[in-house]
Amino acid sequence: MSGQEAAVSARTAEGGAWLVRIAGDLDGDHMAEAADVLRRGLRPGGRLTVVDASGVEFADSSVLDMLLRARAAYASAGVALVIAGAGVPLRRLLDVTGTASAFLLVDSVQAAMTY
Amino acid sequence: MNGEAAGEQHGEGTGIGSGAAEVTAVLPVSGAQARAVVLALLESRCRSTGVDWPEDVVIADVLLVTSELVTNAERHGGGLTLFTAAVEGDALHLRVGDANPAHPATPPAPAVPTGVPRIGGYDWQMVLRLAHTVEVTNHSAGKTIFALVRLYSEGLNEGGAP
Repeated sequence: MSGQEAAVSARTAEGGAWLVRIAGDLDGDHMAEAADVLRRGLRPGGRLTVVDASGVEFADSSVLDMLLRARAAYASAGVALVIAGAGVPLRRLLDVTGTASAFLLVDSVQAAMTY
Repeated sequence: MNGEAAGEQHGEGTGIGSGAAEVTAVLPVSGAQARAVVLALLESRCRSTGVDWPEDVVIADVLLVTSELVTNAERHGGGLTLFTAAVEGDALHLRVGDANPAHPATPPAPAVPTGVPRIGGYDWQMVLRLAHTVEVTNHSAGKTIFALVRLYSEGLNEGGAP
């Protein structure tokens, strides 16, 4: 149950989706990097960005703020943003703040690719 | 036939908080370090008392409250001046001090009816929502925030202030 090192990475998945993986213990120290990586999904031609959150062990309010900013930017740009595989820590953060309904949440990256 | 042994697991003097209260007074330098301190405390208490590890959602709540309090002290409170964590009864007791006497910001109004949630202002709101009790004590050099988070599901969903 001890903290896992935070990790942010991204790649273009088959089919062209921008696949961003966030993992470990995430707080304000890592959100500038995550926001930068997420913004890259808004490049011209971007159609779908999937956040693979299956490895998130902890996420605080700064993670929520980052995701809400990304959500707003994606909505403005008309690009889909899907969060895949959120476990208990991230789900709890979204549920307790009443923000879960603002996001497209799916169980797996595979399911997200159908958007 | 006095029933003492059989009833021991449910008695007042048993459970995760039985015996001497364990207090950690090392001043963490970050939310991550504070979370690690609290996890280590809970692991130690569960091991020494034989009590089950709390549910995942409770751990999520405990870590959120810990992290938001410490992060707020660093970000808005002029720096962390006190951090203690103790298990008493079936609850985690946190005390977090900072150098700013001002009360934590009251959260703005909830998400507007358009369904678009506001960005920011969730930190203190989550502390109030997830902790069973929150008390702010001001003193000349700053303030101390006491938060009690229940570790087992009894009363978990009572929610809200009286």
